[in-house]
Amino acid sequence: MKSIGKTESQRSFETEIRRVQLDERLDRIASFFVPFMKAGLITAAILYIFNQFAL
Amino acid sequence: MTAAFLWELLRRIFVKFFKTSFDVVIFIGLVAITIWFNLRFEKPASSEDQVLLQNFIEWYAIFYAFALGLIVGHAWNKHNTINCTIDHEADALALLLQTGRMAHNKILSTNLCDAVESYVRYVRKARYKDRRTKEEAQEEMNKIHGCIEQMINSSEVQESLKPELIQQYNKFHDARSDRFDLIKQEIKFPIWMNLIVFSLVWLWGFFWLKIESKQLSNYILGITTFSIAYLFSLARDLDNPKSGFWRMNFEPFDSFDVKAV
Repeated sequence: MKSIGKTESQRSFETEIRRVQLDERLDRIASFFVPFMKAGLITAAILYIFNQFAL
Repeated sequence: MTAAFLWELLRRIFVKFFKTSFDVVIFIGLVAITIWFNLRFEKPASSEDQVLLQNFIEWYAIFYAFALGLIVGHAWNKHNTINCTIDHEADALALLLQTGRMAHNKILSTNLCDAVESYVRYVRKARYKDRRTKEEAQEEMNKIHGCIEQMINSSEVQESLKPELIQQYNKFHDARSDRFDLIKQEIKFPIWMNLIVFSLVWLWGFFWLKIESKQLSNYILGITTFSIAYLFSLARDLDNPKSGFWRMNFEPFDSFDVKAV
């Protein structure tokens, strides 16, 4: 009902902005996990090296 | 819908991970080089050496916390300042609009509203792709500038409003310029490299500690490595305002409703 009174170009602009915002939100959620994954990979590699070479 | 969402999320996580994992490669590469050196030399086994090593780990931790704190603090400060600048930009635009609406000449006033709306739409759409010298941005800025110029030269606009219009426009222009200046101020690559080397120097002390329990040594080394690597990744994320979790926040423009101001 919010779209009543809006022109076609306004409606298509709002649709595009909603798509951009959704895309950004998804991107941010994905980015949240990346530092954990990096830290996890580095930790796993170092622990593997530590245990493998029995330093 | 949920499965598609999860699949897309996982795809993005992996793409991002492999796209930005050059620091992981550098980190593991340097560990491999130091292991190669380490295998050629005798390890500190005597109790005096162990005490010295423990002292070294403690004292180096102070220096390391100082270096890491400075970098993380700087990146966090930059992240906050950019968001404040975006907020100031939107506030200055809102004030410009409100001042413009007080003008007696409603045609000029409406023109200003349209120009501001057009700029807001541009920022909402361009977001991270917005550049200082982008032609589209320049056109939008020129539209607002043109409207202000017409209002200042018009005899139908109250004299008391004119200095206010110029002031708000200048504030808006300053905030926009500050946004791009701050984006450019990134932490340079040699500093990141230094931080990786400092991290390894400190971490290496833990490798040499003589701990009888395997579980305890894995726990200490694992937690320390994870904390260092996570803080490092966090600082890199904070320093990059155009991507990552801690990116610029365009919420002030998203919630900017020209008709409601």
